[in-house]
Amino acid sequence: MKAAIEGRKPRVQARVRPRIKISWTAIAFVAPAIVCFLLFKYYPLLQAVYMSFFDYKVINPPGKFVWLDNYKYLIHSSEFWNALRNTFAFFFIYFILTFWVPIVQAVLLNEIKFASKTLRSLYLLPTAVPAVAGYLLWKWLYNPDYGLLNYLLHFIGLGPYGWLNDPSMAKWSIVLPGVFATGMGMLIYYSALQGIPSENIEAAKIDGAGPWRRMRSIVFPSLKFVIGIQFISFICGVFLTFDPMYIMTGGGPASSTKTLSMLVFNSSFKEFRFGVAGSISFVMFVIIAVITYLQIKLSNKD
Amino acid sequence: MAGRGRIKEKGSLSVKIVSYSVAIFFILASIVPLFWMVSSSMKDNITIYKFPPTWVPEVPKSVSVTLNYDGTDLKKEDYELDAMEAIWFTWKRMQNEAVGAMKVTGVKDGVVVYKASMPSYKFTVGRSEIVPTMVATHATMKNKLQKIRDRKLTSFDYMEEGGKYGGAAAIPSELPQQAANAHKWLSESKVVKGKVQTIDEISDWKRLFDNYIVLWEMTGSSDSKSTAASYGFPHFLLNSVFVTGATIILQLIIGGTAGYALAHLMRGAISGWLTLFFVATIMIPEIAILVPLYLTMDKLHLVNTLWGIILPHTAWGIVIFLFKGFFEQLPGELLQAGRIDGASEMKIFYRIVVPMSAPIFTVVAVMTFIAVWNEFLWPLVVARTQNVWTFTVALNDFQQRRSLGSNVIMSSLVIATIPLMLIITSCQKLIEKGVSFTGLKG
Repeated sequence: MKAAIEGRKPRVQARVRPRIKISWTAIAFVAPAIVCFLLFKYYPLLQAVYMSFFDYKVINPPGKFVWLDNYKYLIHSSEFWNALRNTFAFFFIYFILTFWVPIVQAVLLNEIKFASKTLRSLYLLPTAVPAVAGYLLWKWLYNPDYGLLNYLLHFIGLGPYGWLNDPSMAKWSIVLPGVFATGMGMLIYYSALQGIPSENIEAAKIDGAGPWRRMRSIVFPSLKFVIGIQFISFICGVFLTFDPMYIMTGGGPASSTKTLSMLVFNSSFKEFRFGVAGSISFVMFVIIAVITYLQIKLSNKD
Repeated sequence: MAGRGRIKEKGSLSVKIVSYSVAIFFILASIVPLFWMVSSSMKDNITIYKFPPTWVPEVPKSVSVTLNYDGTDLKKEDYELDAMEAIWFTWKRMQNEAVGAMKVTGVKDGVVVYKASMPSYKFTVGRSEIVPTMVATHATMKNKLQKIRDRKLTSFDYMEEGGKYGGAAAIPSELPQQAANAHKWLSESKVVKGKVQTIDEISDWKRLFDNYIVLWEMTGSSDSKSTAASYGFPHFLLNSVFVTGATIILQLIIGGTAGYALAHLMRGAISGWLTLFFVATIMIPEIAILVPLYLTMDKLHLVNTLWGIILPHTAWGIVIFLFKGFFEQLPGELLQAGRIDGASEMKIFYRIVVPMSAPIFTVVAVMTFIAVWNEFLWPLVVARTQNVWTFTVALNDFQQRRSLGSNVIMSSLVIATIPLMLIITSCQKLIEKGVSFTGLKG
């Protein structure tokens, strides 16, 4: 790959393009995108930080300058600490329940040669249910009185459970549907596995490595890079999850599923305290940046 | 030879068993909820709330009643009032039963005077307005009569010269459950003037799909204060279609041109910095800029418009990254040839680059479709009134409406699933391609 880029470099320079100025065409081609990104990404980002220093008023913006008061408020707010705890709890539950699932699915699917395309489309099937629809469907499955889950579990002598209504189970119940909607992630790993050179596997075979051993020493290590990348997007995705909590529990019961993203939504669009919302947003942004940085640092060490 | 090797190898059997059972477990575990969704969507208002639940919905029963008006002297309006009372009040008593439709035939002196009928979805739609309580008097129904006519809830055909009545003349001695309930109330009540001549019930499988028809006819919202016009589910679906379609077109144009400029129209350093400018935005979490983005849209007077939902999607770093990556692999000689022929950059882009780049355009279109079709948070924030709701916002509202049972909600989920299901099954190859682009390079 690298060689290919270097090999092409002289050709780029050999072009007859004037090298000093950027052509007007180039500017015309890229300008709409620049405007959109400035308007819808960078300006709001700066605005979020700016807002967090104000007791922001929509009617007469920006309102009173309060310096770090919004952040001080957060430190003393039990709601904020509760949301932060919940967010990290969700993070671990998602990690325990869902992160490894597509890896296992892909590695094992890789061993199946029969009807693997059909199996892949069956894996994709739950992805065809729009996310919001999926949450509502699961909410119905969880229904403590009429739901299918309690009904099925009673056959093996379990339950009835309160699921989303039970503060100790609500977090797990919100995450559980994610276990069965991993089709996309599975595809990512699966397509990565197709890139393993078959010589490596043949060589291992000749060396007498059984299929389990090959899986452990060749197939799985070759996924390490993809797993690293997936982990970063997993962190960001999970940290910002909003939809399932909002739709399935609305933050309850007893605030046990209230996360930072829900706190941002509530403090801005329910309580209209935009300054506080801005400061929470900024804290989240920093946390994600730190985790991503650490992850990249760690994976570079290997 | 490979086959023989596989059979002889130690552990290959256990790998096979584990692989197949894991695949079957996950696939079953995801198909059962889907089956449950479809099955629930066809259940009537009562069986949906039965425990233990049934796997297969029951075919609804439609009850037909013949009322005898011998010895009365009624005008057309009186007949209509009587028919409406017979249908609505009776049904209200049976609202906890699996009734699919109700038909009333009025007979006087052996001649048919009127025919009236109502399917269950009309009852579901009108129940909260027409018969909110158990009170059954002439006065309450008279008040509602105009509303029933306006909204065409119950069909009523008055026959000046009806044909001879040829149905049964007596009530069967053994009545099925629903018919027996209806008969009990009709003969006990003092409100309905006609006497029950005969009553019967038949299975009607067409009524299985009534929950879907409710979606088309329904009105109202969970917010009881809202007096604004209300819309049926198709309106929200169309909004989503428009939002998704417009987003895809804008992304292909804006992202495509920008990606091309970065790949072919700029010098290395500028292109590198600009690429960073675009791609770094992937790290900005949506929720972190939610509030200021809303305020920005407010300043642009785009809050509560479909364009307010669409426009922020024009700034997706990943799209530009994908386009740039693809265009860089195009052979430079072709573009060079175009330039030597004197074609403008615009022409080169549309005549040479776009036709060669169909794969990347379709990959971006499909990935965008899936993401935008599923989107919930941003439309929830920007779309303040029903006329601009996307279907995801509407679904969330449905679950809070008292008047909608879980069966109707499940049918809305089924409908919402169909477009995405079509895209995913027909574009599986493209998705796999796109996934390997974004997953490995992003």
